[in-house]
Amino acid sequence: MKTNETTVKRKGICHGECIIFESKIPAEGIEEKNEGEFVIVANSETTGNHHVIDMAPDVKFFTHEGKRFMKNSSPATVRCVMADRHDALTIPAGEWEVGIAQEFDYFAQAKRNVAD
Amino acid sequence: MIEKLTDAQEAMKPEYIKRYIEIGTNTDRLDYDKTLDIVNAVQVELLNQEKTPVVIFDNPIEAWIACNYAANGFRPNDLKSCVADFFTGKKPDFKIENFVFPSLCGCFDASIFGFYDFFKNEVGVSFGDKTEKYDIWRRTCELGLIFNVHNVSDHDVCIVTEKPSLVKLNEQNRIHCDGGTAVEYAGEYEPIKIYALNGTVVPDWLAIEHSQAIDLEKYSTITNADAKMEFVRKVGQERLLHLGTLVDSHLKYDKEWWTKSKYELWDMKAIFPTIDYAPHLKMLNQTTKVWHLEAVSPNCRLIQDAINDRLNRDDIEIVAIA
Repeated sequence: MKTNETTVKRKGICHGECIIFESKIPAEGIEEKNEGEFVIVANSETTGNHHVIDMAPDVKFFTHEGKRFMKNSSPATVRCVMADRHDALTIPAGEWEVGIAQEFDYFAQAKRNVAD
Repeated sequence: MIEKLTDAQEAMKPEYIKRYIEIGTNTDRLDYDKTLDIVNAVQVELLNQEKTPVVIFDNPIEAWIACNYAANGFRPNDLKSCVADFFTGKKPDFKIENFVFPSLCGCFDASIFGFYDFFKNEVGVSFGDKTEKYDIWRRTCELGLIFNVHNVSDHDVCIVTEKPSLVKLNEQNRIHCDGGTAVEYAGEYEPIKIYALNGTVVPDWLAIEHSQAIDLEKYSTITNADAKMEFVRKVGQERLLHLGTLVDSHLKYDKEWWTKSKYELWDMKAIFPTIDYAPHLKMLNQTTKVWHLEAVSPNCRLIQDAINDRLNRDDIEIVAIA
């Protein structure tokens, strides 16, 4: 998002390794059909301490080209299954992309998703 | 509709939590007759099936192997020898399917029964004519995992695991043992030992070795973020960073979340013998106040580079961290 003189930064929220930042839902984005009280946005295969966003009627998730997006017309909540690891954070109404923080593996000489 | 618990009901919650953690982490050995009674009641009253024989195994690995034999037509009386043959190599070609948790998880379900019992006993929620069935289901928390196996040769069987023989918890009731195993299952062939610090499963050496004896180069071998955090917590960030060189610090900047996270960029090449420059971002977990040290790409020379590297883009302004 470049203007004539300055770079306009997107707002980003870091919830552990889960990254949520301002975005636009792609027109080709396919809406997910999620059931249940929350959606896992960062899966914790080892500890089970998933990062989740609580579902509400106005919280919708979309996927496009392997990326995940969220649209919420009122504040949403991102939290952990084990609440003592990361406090819950409020996500203001808007359109967002959800991703995973990266780390560098010096043995493989490559970046990878942070895993827990 | 229950909208709010009374003060008296709230006051009872800790007691239920304590009681059902004790049930869930109980290490008593199973009594065969009692186990048979519990399982057969479940089969008849809840699953509407006939009673089957019950075979108890020491741990989930041995039990799962037995389940595979049982599902393939082996008789209940032969399952113990089948498992023995598997581990002694007499049946090397037998294929074991990937583990699947059973629908009845025994002591692992203690939290469910704690929740239901609290509302039944303290809040007065009535289970009506389902009370007897609930009590039958509830008794399964006295057992380990319960695999109700349908056999292709009509030799149905229920395979039950013993509970762990050892469970150690920290003050937060998370599995934890600094200096030994946190969870153990007995086993004639495949005993299970789980090493954990503050609820995170870690490599055995990280749990067993004294903090001062741990080789700091081992940090680079850990791939799990929570396990890395436990490494830093155990050896101390001061000792780990003593090997490094400070490259950049939040103190040079006026950025709210950089200050709160106490971001610092450190070159940790000392723990990678063949690497010339190995920048790591040091940060403070805003909730637990435990330090994290995460590797970032070797082109990172500033904290901003490291943040961009972690976020995988350079156009984000962090407005909240937890």
